[in-house]
Amino acid sequence: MAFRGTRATRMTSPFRVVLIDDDPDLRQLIKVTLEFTAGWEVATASNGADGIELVRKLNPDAVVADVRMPVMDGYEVCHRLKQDPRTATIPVVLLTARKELDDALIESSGAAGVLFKPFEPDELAARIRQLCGGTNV
Amino acid sequence: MSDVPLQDPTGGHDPVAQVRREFSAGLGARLDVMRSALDAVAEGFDSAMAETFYHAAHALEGTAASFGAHELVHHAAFLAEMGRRWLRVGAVRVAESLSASGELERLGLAVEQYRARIERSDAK
Repeated sequence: MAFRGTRATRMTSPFRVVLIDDDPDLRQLIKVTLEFTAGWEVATASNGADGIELVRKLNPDAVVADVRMPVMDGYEVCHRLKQDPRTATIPVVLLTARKELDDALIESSGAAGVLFKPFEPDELAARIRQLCGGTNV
Repeated sequence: MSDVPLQDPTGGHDPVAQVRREFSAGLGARLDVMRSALDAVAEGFDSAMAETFYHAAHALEGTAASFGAHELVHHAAFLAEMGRRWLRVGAVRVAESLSASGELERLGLAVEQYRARIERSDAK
């Protein structure tokens, strides 16, 4: 999948998100919700390595990554994106259960914020918008 | 990329409802994964099978409520906690495997209730 615009033209193009989650049902729910209710463009990956590659390729406006994934967790995904000058400025929102929240890891990963599971699909776009703060969503 | 791009996945109907139906349809497979893993660890502890059990229960605990399947959450949470304990301790006691088996049955009943509720909702 390729996004239509670039980050430089996002004033006139839909907000573009790369979503990284190993659960196919949740991935599809988030993708459909953001595409059909908010009009965003969403590209997806089922693991951290593919997700990072997709982010480098597509240069999205934001990344949403699940924390608990096999092989590479969301903290590591975020950390690697922040270490790479090509992707360091892209806000990353981590997705996790409230009881698994680790403030120290969130802080050190450089994530823009945390989205808690379960979430209300209707509130998803607004929450990501809020967590991405200064970005033009 | 593992997902097919969604152009019009429901033929013009509510796409979120369609995803909910797919989640509902896939619950049987999630239960099967947990049952197989439980059978395996009940016969003799296997960390890979315990991890499979834990991951399946934990994933369901984390996703169910977002699909409106609130009745599944506490059963999945119980099973995830049990799997977490097995991984920590490196063993499964007989009483624990029996308890997990009973909880899986209750989870199966809750899945049926959820499916019935989804069908009623779709019929409206």
